Amino acid sequence: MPRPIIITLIVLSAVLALIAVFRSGIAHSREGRILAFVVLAVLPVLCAWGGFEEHMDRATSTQFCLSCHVMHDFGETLKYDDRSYIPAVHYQSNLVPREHACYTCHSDYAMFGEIRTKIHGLRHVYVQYFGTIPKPADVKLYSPFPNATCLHCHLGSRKFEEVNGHHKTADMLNEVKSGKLSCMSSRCHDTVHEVADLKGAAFWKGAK
Amino acid sequence: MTGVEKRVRRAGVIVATGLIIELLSLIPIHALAFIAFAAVGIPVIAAGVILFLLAVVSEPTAGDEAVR
Repeated sequence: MPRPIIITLIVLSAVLALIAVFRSGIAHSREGRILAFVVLAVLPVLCAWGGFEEHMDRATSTQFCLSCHVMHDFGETLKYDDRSYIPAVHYQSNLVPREHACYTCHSDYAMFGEIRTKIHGLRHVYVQYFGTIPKPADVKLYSPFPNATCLHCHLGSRKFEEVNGHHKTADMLNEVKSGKLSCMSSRCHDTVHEVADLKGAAFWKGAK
Repeated sequence: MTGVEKRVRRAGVIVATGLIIELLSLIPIHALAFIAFAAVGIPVIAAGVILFLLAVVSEPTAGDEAVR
């Protein structure tokens, strides 16, 4: 549901609910109850559903992910002025949409992947406000970063298929595609959100 | 004011409060806004809707009385 429609619907429903407060006498007739049912049950449920959809959509934004204090440093690593940092290259070169940078690389593209990602996100929000917040350096992935996430975009691209680094051994590319060899193996693409490097690092000034 | 009117009025106030909380939660893009929506807004709206439904099923309308 588009955002302006949700906002309008919520405002309209709130106004109608307040009108129902001052016209509570309508509840005596059957027709009045039907009207009150629409105003005090159907519309609020529609608003709640629309609001939930909107919040779920917002939860995929970089701004939302970085709104938790512990994530601030991870957001800063996207601005490293150094091409060896994989997330920084993806972010600065628009290889991922900047507004949804975190979600693009940290969502599971498999069946039910989005649901799994949202459940993880809910857990993060819970820990942020009701649990023990870890230090940025202690934040770890639930499981090793899956090749499938990289292959979701890179698979089939000429650069990915032909670059020398992917043919160091005869079967290297197939091993990567099958997941036997991780993209983030040592000496391949293992430089990611290195928050420990923030101190004294040079940053790209163009990032918003 | 009859009992059903009081309950409908109360339900209206609660539903409107929940909707205003939902509206406010949609202003900032922040994890705390989601918490406000999910942990406060939704339960308040749900409480208002349930209160309204209980109010209307607990007391027959004038039409129902006439049928009896």
